[in-house]
Amino acid sequence: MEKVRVMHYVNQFFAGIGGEEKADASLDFREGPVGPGKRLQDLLGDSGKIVVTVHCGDNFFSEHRDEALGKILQIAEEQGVEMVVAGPAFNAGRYGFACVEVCHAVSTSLGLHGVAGMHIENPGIDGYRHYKDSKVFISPTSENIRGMEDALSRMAQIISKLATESVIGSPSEEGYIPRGFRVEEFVSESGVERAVDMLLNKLADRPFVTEIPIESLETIPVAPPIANLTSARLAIATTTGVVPPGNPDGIKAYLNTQWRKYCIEKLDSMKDGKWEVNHGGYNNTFMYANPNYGVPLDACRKLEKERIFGKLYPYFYMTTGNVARISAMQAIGKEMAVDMKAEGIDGVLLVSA
Amino acid sequence: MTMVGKQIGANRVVNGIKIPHPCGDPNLPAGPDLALRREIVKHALRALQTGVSGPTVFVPDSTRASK
Repeated sequence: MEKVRVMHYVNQFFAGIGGEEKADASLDFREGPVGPGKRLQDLLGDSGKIVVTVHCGDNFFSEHRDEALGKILQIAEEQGVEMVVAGPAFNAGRYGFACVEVCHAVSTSLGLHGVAGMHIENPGIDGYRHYKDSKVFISPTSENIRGMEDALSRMAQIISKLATESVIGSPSEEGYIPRGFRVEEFVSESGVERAVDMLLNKLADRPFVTEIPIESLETIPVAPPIANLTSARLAIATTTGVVPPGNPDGIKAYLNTQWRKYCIEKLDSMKDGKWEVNHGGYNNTFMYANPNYGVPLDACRKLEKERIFGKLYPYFYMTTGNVARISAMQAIGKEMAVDMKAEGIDGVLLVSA
Repeated sequence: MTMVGKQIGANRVVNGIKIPHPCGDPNLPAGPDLALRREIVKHALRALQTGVSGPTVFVPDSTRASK
């Protein structure tokens, strides 16, 4: 049997190019497996061959998405690729986002299967559920790289199954993350019979599986527009990791779970104070040199003095949003919102890195 | 990253410059850099005064190249 020709997409880190300082690295490729692709190749054995590894800096991808995807499609065609594999990205947001975009593009433009791996709370999963590509499958992984072996073996299982063209079953049978759509199949009992069985099982406290799980994705209610900006009290919030010197509250650069408010009452610009940057997900050099990039205090003070808006709240809200759990961030968001309401804040400018 | 903001359901998203410096551009001299930041903030203020029915991206003119 011919081995399926696989393209593997990894970010700059897993390609061995560098960390956050290389996140602007442009897209390039090498023949054969690279980094985690080497172990994946071992696991694939005879079912697939990684013929090319495409790598790209995380920032480069999100800032030049169309250009990067265009090149990827071109490389896939030139190399005679028959399947695309991306990641695993664990809980790295930009990387997960890129993996989903790559699989989506290759699946829709070239009709190929795509397999990726990432943590269930990776923001990329939202894109996966949005696209609902019937040929794309994402394996759940741990939050971080410690689960690499398990992630690769789960991905290899799906790749091998797709390579032999056998039918892929439901997410619960095959272990991939549900994409949010149902497929038709023949069953022996009618809907009425299955519903009654389910009800009887439920009443008797026996296990049962619903056929229509309820989507848990939260829709955020839209706040009404501010009618009178000249009297509005506004606050700045940021997830860019700007903290006072020495990071006195121990805000974590990764997997952070807390938030704080820091006083800016007497400052006209962030450069008038002393700040550090504690965020492990982007190159902090520019933010360190000028924290107004994350807390645009200098611009806000000018607009406040010109009476474009009423008053700037004397503190800025701060959390670090890097590889954090969505559930932890939702809790932080709710706490911040309660505090903002209590402080009479009418509108918030939230700067995200 | 505006696409991510939209996907997670933020209702008013304003396009910035780059992930490491959303509000401004360190390649510019201080004056134009501040002017750019001011334009982004002003755009955000406009977004706050605009009614939307769901996630909406607002793009300040001088950030179009960074979209």
